[in-house]
Amino acid sequence: MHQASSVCAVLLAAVAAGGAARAQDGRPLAFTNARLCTLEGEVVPLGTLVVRDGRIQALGADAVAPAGALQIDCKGGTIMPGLVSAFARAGIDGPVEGPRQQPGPGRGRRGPPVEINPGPRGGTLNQPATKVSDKLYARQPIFGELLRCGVTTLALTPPGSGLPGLGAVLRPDGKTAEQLVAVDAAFVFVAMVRDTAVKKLLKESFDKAKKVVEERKKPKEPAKPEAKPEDKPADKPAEAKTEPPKGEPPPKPPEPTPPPVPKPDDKKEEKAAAPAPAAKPPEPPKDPNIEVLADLLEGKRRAILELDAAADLLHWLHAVGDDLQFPRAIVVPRYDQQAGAFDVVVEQCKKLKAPILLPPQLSVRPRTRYLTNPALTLQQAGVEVGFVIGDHRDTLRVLFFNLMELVRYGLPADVALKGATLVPAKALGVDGEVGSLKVGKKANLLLFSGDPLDPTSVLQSVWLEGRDVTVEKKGAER
Amino acid sequence: MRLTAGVLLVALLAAASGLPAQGRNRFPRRTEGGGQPAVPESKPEPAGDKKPPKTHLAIVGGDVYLGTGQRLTGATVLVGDDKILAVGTDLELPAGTTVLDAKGKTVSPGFVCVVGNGMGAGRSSPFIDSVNPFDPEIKQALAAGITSFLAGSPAGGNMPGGDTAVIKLAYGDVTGMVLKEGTVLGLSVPLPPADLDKLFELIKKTRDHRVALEEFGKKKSADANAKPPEAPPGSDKLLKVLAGEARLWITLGGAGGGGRRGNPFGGGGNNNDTAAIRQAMDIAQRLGTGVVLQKPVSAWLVADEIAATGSMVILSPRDRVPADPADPDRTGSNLASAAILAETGVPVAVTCPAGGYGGGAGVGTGGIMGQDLNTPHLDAAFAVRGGLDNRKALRTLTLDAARIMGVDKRIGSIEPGKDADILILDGDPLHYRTFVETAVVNGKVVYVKDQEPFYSHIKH
Amino acid sequence: MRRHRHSLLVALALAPLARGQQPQAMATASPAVAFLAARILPADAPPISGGVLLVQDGKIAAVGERRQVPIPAGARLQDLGDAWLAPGFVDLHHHVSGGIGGGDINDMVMPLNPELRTLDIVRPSELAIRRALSGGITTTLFIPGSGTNIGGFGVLLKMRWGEPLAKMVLRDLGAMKVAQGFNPERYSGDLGQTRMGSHELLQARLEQGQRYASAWSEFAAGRGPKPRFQAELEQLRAVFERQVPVLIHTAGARDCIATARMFQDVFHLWMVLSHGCFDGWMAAAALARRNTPVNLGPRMYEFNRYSEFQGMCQAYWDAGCRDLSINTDAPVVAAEELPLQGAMAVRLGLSYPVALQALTLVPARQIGIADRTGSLTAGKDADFQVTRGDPLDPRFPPQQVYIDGNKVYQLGDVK
Repeated sequence: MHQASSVCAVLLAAVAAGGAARAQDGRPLAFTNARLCTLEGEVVPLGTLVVRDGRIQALGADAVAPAGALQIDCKGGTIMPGLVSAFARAGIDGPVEGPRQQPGPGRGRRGPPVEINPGPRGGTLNQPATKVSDKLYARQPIFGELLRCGVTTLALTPPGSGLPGLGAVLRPDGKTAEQLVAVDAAFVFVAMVRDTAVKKLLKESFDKAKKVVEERKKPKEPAKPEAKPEDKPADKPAEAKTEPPKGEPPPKPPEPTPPPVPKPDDKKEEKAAAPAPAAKPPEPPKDPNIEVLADLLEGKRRAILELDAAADLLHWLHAVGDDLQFPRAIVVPRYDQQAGAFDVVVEQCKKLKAPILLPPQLSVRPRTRYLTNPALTLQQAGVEVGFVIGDHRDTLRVLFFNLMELVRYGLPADVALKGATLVPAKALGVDGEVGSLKVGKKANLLLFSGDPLDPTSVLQSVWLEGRDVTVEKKGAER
Repeated sequence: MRLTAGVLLVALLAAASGLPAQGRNRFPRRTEGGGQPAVPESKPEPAGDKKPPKTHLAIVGGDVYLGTGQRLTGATVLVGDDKILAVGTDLELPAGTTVLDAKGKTVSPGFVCVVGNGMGAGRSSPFIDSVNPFDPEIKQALAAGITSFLAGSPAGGNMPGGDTAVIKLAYGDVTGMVLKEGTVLGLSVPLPPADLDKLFELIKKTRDHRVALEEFGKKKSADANAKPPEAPPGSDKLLKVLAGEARLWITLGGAGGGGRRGNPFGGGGNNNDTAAIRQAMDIAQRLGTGVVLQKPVSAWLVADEIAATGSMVILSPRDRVPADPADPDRTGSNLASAAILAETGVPVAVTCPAGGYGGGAGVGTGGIMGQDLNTPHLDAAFAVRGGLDNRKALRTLTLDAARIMGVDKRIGSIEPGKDADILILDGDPLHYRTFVETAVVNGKVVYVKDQEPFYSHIKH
Repeated sequence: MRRHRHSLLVALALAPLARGQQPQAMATASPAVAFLAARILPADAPPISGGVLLVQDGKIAAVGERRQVPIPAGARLQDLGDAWLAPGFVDLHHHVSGGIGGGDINDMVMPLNPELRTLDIVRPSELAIRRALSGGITTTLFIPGSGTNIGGFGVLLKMRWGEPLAKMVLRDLGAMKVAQGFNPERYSGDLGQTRMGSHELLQARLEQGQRYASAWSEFAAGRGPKPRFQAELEQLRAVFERQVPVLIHTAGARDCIATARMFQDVFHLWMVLSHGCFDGWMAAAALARRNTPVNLGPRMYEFNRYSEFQGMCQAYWDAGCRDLSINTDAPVVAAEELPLQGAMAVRLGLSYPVALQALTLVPARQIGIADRTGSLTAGKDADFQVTRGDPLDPRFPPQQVYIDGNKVYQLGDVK
């Protein structure tokens, strides 16, 4: 008896010591003695964070671990939200040539770029209604690597320039595409290039979309009694459905920023319905691509706009006009000093009123060795600044060191950490679910042995929706 | 807010004091009285009824070289938004004018380069879609005084063609960087007889078509249903030339055409291209409007003929082709070419020596100073060396260069109505030691010497 | 100090004439010519306003202010009005007097060619010589190219275009041309593809020459046997007897230091360091400590890592290199653009008087002919140019150029 119970005790201890790898048993988790880097206000120097059913149930200095919770003593280490990568192509089907290599640091350049899997290349694409998730190949080891680097939410960005399609938001844990996709058709991706073809496409597309928006605003025809409902999804890929991930409790009320979920539009169906016997000229067929852009202009969708340089920003404004407003975020995957890092277009950035995600690196003034900190420059001017953290293990491994350097050169620490979590989450429209430590949000957590921005800290564990995903399970499905 | 009346008659004021005349008139090839069609004066477009400017800038107290050959001492240049409003002394400045003090300094129009590579220009037409307004070469070119240049290549083929645009160094402004696209067309001579005939025929048809268009214009006001005349195929470009909206640049080809200093280790080059020039003049006569000769070697021999057609010339004074002592026909180039042409009234623009070690028509960083676009004023200085009047020499970099590119209504001189592309220099614009202190393009200050790394450490 | 013999040196029986003194009466037939000019730049003295240059028998008899220099009876007056007079320029790095093509200046079979000399390839009728005159250049060191570690010996020439070669040559062996980097590496097939190899080859040959020279001097002093005559080392012997300098094409800090070390510290030769471009200015302080003579060009700046146009001459001067001259490396920069090189040095920060001397007096001194030319000084050859203004300003071409008192160029001779 004694022996059995001591064996049990040993086993239990092993279980407990082995960490919460087995926290799927439904018990709440309580992280105690933790420094909570909530990114929603002040850092909590010492407190408790409670997780139940994959979401944060309570946190704070006064939070109390519920009875029966599995307690994890953080021993003063820091918990921060999981990383969010708003520009990534991990999992894209098709020839993946490996990380896009750029010429190494030459005269005036600084450091390697953020590496992104390039995905299949193409010319200028005009397919904003196409969902990139159709190209997702689920069984890729990269998702596990990303998880272990701390990325708990990432985008799936359509490759190509122009209007390559609708991007998705992924949770890097699952066997199938359905499991991986957290939000399908989450954003319209616009890849700007300083190029006649792309500028022409954008200008024409947005002009047409504006017209459609005007059309929509016109008073509707009275309802026809015999209106045939058009419910072929193929006709209306613009009707993106946001399926809540399976097995999750319904999301809590979201933060103010994300756009409202698009509802099926009966009026639209009505309009597209075959006309009544009266001699009404048939409606011209709707271009699903333009419909997507019209939704975007009406604020029903959000967009992510890729710009490589300040010159691209000016060309974008030249192509579509200064006053084109829609919910968007800007993504800058690499610094191109020859065409201007973003600190030369601060005024234009302010007017965009959008978060801007920059490479998490210092830059240089062109053809000199004077270091610049574009993130700091923009942040001080009042622009909401975040970072492109990429989708490659090598870049992610040094992410925190890069953030440290930015902080050393003046960037506030909380801006640095938000830049890798909350701001990209806003860009993707999922900041109601992830991106910070807040009651109701998903329990995507990183546990560090110390301050994440301290070079001696170690990332001890990564938690996805309340599950410890740090250790690669041999033979287990991912 | 009123401007003193007399001030606006700047152009009629006698030149207060011109630059000291340089070089005696050694070349008695002067056409008395002329008889050639005068090169049309490049007056800026009338202001019309435009909204009053929002911002004002004034450059005060400098020695102003208007770019026309005249100079005003202690004058003020008033700029409204992106245009020059007035030049003169005793100007009243509107409230809120930003004042740039130019006392003791020289003021000049921005330099216009008839050839240029890089410097932020786009790749090909439409240039506006690939222009890079943050190219660091833009700042470097502004440091050299360049505010506009011709990008692309006026490709000399057998028919007028090419892909060019006049680019302004409007740092940070996409639309401001492209002044005009497709303003220069290129053609190569000599042409084989069949192609020459085709060209002549096209010219004739285009001229006829132009007349027909004018008549149609008159008819249309009377009869709304009048049908427009059909354009002959391939005539659209030539039509622009005839209308004065574009210029036809002629590359004098054949053996070794183009810039000839290029190969420093060999002679090469056609040391007498009179025949090609004459064919170009023939074309000009048929067109009824002048053409532009690109770096003709023998222009100095036939200056009168060039003047007679109202044509213009681009020269690189330092490109030398030696004469062949054994063959009197092979007369070679002449440093005095610019001077001789100017005497006969031919507008001349200068450009820097071609390629070789010098770096070519760009703002190089290779170490050899004085051979590329880092010092465009030196090419004008070498024209003076050949005998060009110092007073006229600045025009080879400003007004005449703008004329040759077909954009003289917009740039090239400091005159009311033109674009505000102005330099403040710390000395005589053509002196080897002079630096640009401030450069204004489209009315905005885009370069200040002390704030850029290029020359801020050099103080004379 | 260097000891050198000048085969054409006029006997210095003439006492150097101080300014304003009475010139000695000459017992020759040719009359003196007095050039009156608005401004005279002697180069070794401050500029003179309203001056006179008195020339007799191809020499400068006197130079000074008009009221201080008496004009002898019978002298011909040439009133040049508002003209300026300046010394003829001296270019120590010039490759085109044998032909502007320059094809003859690089014999690239052997890596070391101290037996060769450009004296054999001068073309007195070469247009490039006349063009050099159109830039006011009166003396050049016409050297082999830098295709090999030792290209041969250059010849010191006066630019007396069209005249017999004997009249042009100032010194058969003007300087030995060495190239220590940034060109000779292209030779392949023997040692010398790397700096290690080229330095070794140079060192070995120089030691050989040194031994040869000392063997002869020992023999002459009666201390040793008569050495075997080796024709291929005779010219090198002149170098070690300090009769002929070495002009080394070198650039970059590393190579400049290596040059100074080899030629000054190890072999104690009379030398001139030529080019010194790229980051050579970084070695300038070390060169200044050795008083290395430098001859800079054709690059006049380095565009450094901070986007600054760093003036090269200015950098050397600031670091202490005061023995500083400027070249064209014709045809890299056209031979007649030597004054433009000076102008560009001034543009980038060098002071005007230093730049003027860098084109006249200093290169003459560096190559050992300062007693003959390089400034408007009584006793020197009458090598001068007449301009209408600043001779460094490209807008003022020489109206006339005189060498040894003869007008050899008139504006318009070259188109």
